[in-house]
Formats: sequence, C-alpha cells, structure tokens
Amino acid sequence: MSATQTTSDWLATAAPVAEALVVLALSVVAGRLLGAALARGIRRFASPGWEQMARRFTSWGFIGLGLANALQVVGIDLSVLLGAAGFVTIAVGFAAQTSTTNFLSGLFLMLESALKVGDFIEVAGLSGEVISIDPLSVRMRTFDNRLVRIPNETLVKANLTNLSGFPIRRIDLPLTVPQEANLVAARDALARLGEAEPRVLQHPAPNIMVLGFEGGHARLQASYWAAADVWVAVRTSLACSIPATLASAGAPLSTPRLELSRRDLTASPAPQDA
Amino acid sequence: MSQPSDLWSATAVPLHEARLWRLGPLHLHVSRLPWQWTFSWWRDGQWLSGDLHVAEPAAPQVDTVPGLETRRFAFGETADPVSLTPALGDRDFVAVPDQPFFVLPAESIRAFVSVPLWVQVRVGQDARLAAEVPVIRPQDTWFGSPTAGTLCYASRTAMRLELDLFSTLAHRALVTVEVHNRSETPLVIERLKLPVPELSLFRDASGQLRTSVVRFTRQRDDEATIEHAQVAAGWTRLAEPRTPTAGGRGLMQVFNATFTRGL
Repeated sequence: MSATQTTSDWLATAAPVAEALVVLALSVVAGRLLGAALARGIRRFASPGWEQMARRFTSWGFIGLGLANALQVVGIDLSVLLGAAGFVTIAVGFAAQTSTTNFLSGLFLMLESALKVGDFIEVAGLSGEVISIDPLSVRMRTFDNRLVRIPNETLVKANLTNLSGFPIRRIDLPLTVPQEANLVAARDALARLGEAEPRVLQHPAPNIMVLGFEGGHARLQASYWAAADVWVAVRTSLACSIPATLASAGAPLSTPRLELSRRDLTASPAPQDA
Repeated sequence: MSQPSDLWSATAVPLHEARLWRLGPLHLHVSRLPWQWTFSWWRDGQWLSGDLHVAEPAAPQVDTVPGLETRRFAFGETADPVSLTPALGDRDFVAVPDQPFFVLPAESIRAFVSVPLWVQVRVGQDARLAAEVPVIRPQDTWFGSPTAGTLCYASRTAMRLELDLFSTLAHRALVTVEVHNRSETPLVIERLKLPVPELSLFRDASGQLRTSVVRFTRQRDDEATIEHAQVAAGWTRLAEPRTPTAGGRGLMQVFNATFTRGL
C-alpha cells in the first residue's frame, strides 16, 4: 500500500466527519442566534419564562436538525433511530399530557393577553399580583405574601378577574341609615365627600343611590371612581370619612335595630276565630 | 404683601434659619442646617386667594397642621440660594364651560381657562430641583372611555369666552384656546382636553401668567389637530414645556369624551 493511497483513504474517511462537524457547528451557531433574536422579539409582550423557552426551543431544534444532517453525512441510517423515536414520543406524550395541556393553555393565555406581569387578579378564590407567566403556570403573590402557582389550564377554565385590566375602577360603598334620616342631605354630603378627595375622579361623576328600605333602614350605595392604582387607598380614605360625614348631615350610619312590642298578658285573651 | 415679581427669584437662607413663602393657599416653609435642607408645605384658605408673601423669616420648626407634608434632603454641605421657579401641571387638564356651547361650521372661537401652577424648589448655585408642589391639588378626572383614556386634572374654573372675567393671580396661568370648526356640522363643546404639559409658561405685559396658545382645528367628529400658535410679542418666557410637543400632530380626541351608559 503506497503512501498516496493511505492518504487518500484517510481523507475519504476524515472528510465526511469534518463536514458533519461543520454542519453541527453551524447549526449550533444558527440556533443560538435565531433563538436570541426570537427571544428579543417576544420580550415586549411575554414574560421571561416565554423568552427563555423560545430561546431553548429554537436552539435545541436547530441542534437536532444539525445532528440528523451530520449523522447522514457520515453514513448513519436514521430510519432505525426514527423508528425508536416514534415509540419514545408516544410514551413521553402520555406521560406529559398534563404538561402539554398547561403549555397549550399558556399559549392561549398569551394570545388573549388576559393578564400580564404586575396585574392584580382574582382566580379560584385567590387574589394577588402576577409575578411571572411561565410556560406551564402563572405565579402569583397573594396580598399576605404567599407564593401561589396556578396551572395555566386552571386559568383558562376558571373565571379570571383582572382587577387592573382597565385603568379606572369604581368604588362601591353600601351604607345603611335610619329610614327617618334626611336622605337628601345624606346624598349631598356623600357627593361633597367625593369632591373633597382629589383622587376621586370628577368624571365619571360620583353616584349616590337609594337602593331600598328594609327593617327600618334605608339602604344606600355611594359609588365613586378612581384610578386603578390608587383604588384601595381612595376607598379606605372615603370609608374613614363616611361615618362623620353622614353624622354631620343628620343621617348617621344605622346601628342594628330590634323592635320589641309589649303585650299585657293579664288582659283578656284575644278573640279566637270560630 | 409682596410683589409677584419678587416671587420667582433666589433667596439666601442663613444656617439654622428658616423662611416662609405663601402663595395663595400654599404655605411653603424652608429651613436650612449645615447638612440638610427641609421643605414643608400645607394649604389653607381659599384656593383663589391672592395672598403673596415671599421668604419671610420663620421659626425653624413647623407646627403640626392638617395636610402638612415634609421632605428632608441631606447634603455634604448645604449652599445658598433657594429659588422658586414656576411650572405648569404634569398632566393634561380637562376644561368644562359653565354651559355647553356650540361652534357652527366654518366658525372660529377663542376661549380661556385658568390652571394652577406648580412651584419648583431649587437649591444651590446650580439650582438643582429638590421638590415640586402644586399650589392646589386639582381633582383627578378621566377623559375617554372607561377602558382606554387619559387620567387628567379637572380644571376648577370654567372655560370662559371673556378674558376680563379672570382676575390676575400669581399662582395661576391663563390658557388661551382657539377652536376652528372645519367640519360640516356644529361642534358642541362640553369638555375639552388641554395638553398643559406641552405648553410653555409666559408672563405678558400686564404681569398675567399665560401659556402658549393652543389651537384646535376640528376636522371630523370629536377629533382635532392640535397646534401651538405663536404667542404675542412682549411675553417673557418663564418655563419650558415639561414634555416635548409633537406640533401639528395627527387627529386626536380632544372634545367631549362621553361615557357609555351604565356608569
């Protein structure tokens, strides 16, 4: 065997391997670049979890394609591997059914834009601030500072209330005053209370309603509007001022009332029906 | 009572002393220590009060009064002077006339709105901004639909067509509004959103504080283009706009934002 032949055999073996390595390297670089670009693209409307997922999926997808191409270049038959991969895919599919549901639910949530990081939400009896939206779940910090992980599927199925979905919110304060009170004076005093608190919106204007009468009381509702970010503070401020405001208007808040009537048991019994 | 021209000037505050400014309903107390400036403010009296007191000697400590707010600023070494500069509001204002009025097609009108000033407190030779206080805290209001709109301040004074109805106050500025109705239908003006942060502040020849003139040209429905017209000669510029103006902007909703039923 001549030296020239040995060299050409070595080259015949090494060239495909080198080509495969180049293909693999290119796929790694392309996957990383495209993954980073895609992550930058979705950064504006998705949480870091989605950004990271987009980067990983793109990167590993390209590496997988590059690997398959590289194996073909060096002469490895992929059909056997693909056959085995089919069984693996079915097994993983069954095992990851819940995760898949949550993942798809997360996609729908993102498309709907029903919530974003920083929103205050109520769902399934819990309320708090959204701190992250991840591929499989949403993490929420409750007002008493507990971390709650809500599967995306739950968010899609349940009635989700986004408390900060709109920039302004109404404050409804149900009140009861004695029905003999001057309700007109009470209404005017509650309207003036809204004007005295600068964070209460002048428009839409406060609305004071008499809802009805019950058990010797008049049921009122005072409704004011405020920006969503100061809603709690304004509601507290108004609620603190209402008792004194109503008292000065001659319509103090009602206290529970129980009416007793006295019957003289020594008197002759009431006539009975025949 | 001081003169309005004294108000927007620099004042020396000796160490361990304090000065008190009164501008309409606003009281502003400034005290100085070798390493600390303290600014306190509160409001009382009528919001259209014309009281004006500039840098009067005051006790170093402020008595507790309702609505008192205080800010302390630490320095390596405090330096004179303290200066007050005027500024316009940091949000758009919504002006409302006493009674809604109509502007017929091809008609142009001029109206006036009075808005409160913000007082900026600056310290040192380089006049660094330390605090900013509105002379009165205007009421919040909303302009737009409940789902999308703008948080604005409500103008306490009505929009008027007669300039003579406004008294000259050192702590309020007059906004001149021109409305040109170029559409084919009458325009009813119930509410008008004024881009106050985009306006400059001037003093006219009579000493009245004025803003740049806002010109609304209604093209269709409730939308209009907004321009800032040239101010009259002889006006002295006191403050630049807070936010850069887009000038000749596209159509914007500025008239009569109404709400759907059920609010």
